[in-house]
Amino acid sequence: MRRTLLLFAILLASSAHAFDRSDVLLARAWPYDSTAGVSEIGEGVGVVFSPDLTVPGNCRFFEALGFACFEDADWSRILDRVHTWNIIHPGRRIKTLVLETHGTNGNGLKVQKNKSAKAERSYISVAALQERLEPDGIRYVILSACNSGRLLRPAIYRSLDPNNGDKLFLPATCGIINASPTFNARRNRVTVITPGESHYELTLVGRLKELAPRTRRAIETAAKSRNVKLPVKFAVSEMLIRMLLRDPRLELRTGASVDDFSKQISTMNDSEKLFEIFATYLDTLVERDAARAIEIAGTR
Amino acid sequence: MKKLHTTAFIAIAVLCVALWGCGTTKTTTETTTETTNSAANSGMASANTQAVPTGGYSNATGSLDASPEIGAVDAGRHAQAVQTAPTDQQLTTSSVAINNPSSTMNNRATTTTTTTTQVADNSLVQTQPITTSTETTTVTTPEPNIIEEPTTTTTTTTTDSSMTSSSTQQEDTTATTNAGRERLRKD
Repeated sequence: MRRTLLLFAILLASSAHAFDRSDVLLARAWPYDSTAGVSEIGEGVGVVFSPDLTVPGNCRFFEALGFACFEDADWSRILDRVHTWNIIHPGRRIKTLVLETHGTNGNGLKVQKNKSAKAERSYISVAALQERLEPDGIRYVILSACNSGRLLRPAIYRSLDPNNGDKLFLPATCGIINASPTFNARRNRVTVITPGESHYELTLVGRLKELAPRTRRAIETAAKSRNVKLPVKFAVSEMLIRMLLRDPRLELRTGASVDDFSKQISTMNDSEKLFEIFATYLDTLVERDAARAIEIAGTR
Repeated sequence: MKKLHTTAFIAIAVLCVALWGCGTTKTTTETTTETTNSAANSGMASANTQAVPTGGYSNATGSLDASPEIGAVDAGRHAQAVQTAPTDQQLTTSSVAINNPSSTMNNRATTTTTTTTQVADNSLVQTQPITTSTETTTVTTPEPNIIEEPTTTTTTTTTDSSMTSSSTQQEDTTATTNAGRERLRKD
């Protein structure tokens, strides 16, 4: 009897541990599809870009890869567009949203045109995001923002503090969205995922010419099928790359806030290596699709 | 004796009607509360801006315990949201009322897919070491669908050894590296 109880306790503990594992979290938020081609790797995932953390036409690149992409300096407009997307695309509904935005040193999720005081800019609290996105069918929000763990601090989780004294907290020319008084975190079904380590996150700018010609052609074909024209450059975050690659070094977590501020940032060399692997990953997908097409043609 | 029976019967009947009346009133109250919560939960922007929180902090990130895959679904307020995929009729209703999110919340029910089986497929794409070879060439590359003039560039080819078996066109394996890559910091 004792042995049975002990075994049961061990199994319970191990299963509880499994729920916290990064790969399990990621598999839930962004299930790996081994059959997805280069035009389908973003299916079910939406990406939100702050306008100053992207390059012109970047959303067209992500749309070609199957993502839903939103770029705006006003959170209200972004939320409206997510809402509309899931209505008019019943076959390509978004379940997971990746936020490529500022964290304002962990004082609020910020989207802005630029750093000018008068530029379009807005903020939103994490609880408000959960509250607004739940009715739209979003179930996971992945924060790829600066010191995102600090955004979950109880003091600002529901309602941001506009007088926090941080110089990066520039005027909210397009407003601040906080959770309503009736918001109940326990009942909300949107899971917020943050990096295991709270620090500066980076977005890397690449050129399409850096990809192999065959890969470029495959992405061009995908873009044409979705009636979009590819930009010359694209911007992709290190965290998004690591998630795409299922990088075992990527640590994700949920349900934990961080108080400490970190200035840790990846080195240029690490960024370059990561980008090269991303390019190779896209090349590999295209090569695999081509091989599969040849195989299918051979069997006919 | 007969009068006593009649009186008792009437008393029981009155009691039954009274109890039924209480039950109806309670149901009505619950329905009203449900509607209010649904509207509030839709998070209209006008009501949310700079709202003062009144509740306590609990389970901040909607942790996995609250995840529908694990089954911790609130039986009351969210019951409608986890039942079935939206029917054509529901989607039509939602499309009509795009500008009124609060009225469409319950119609936009979503299908919750279980990803447990897909965890097994969570293979790590880049876990295997990639052997690369480098070759420098000069090519002129016209790009019809890219907003850029054809240019002559010095390129470095990176070939993944794991892909060579499926490669069929050698002239397609050129790419450009960018040493001074632009990095945008999310601060």
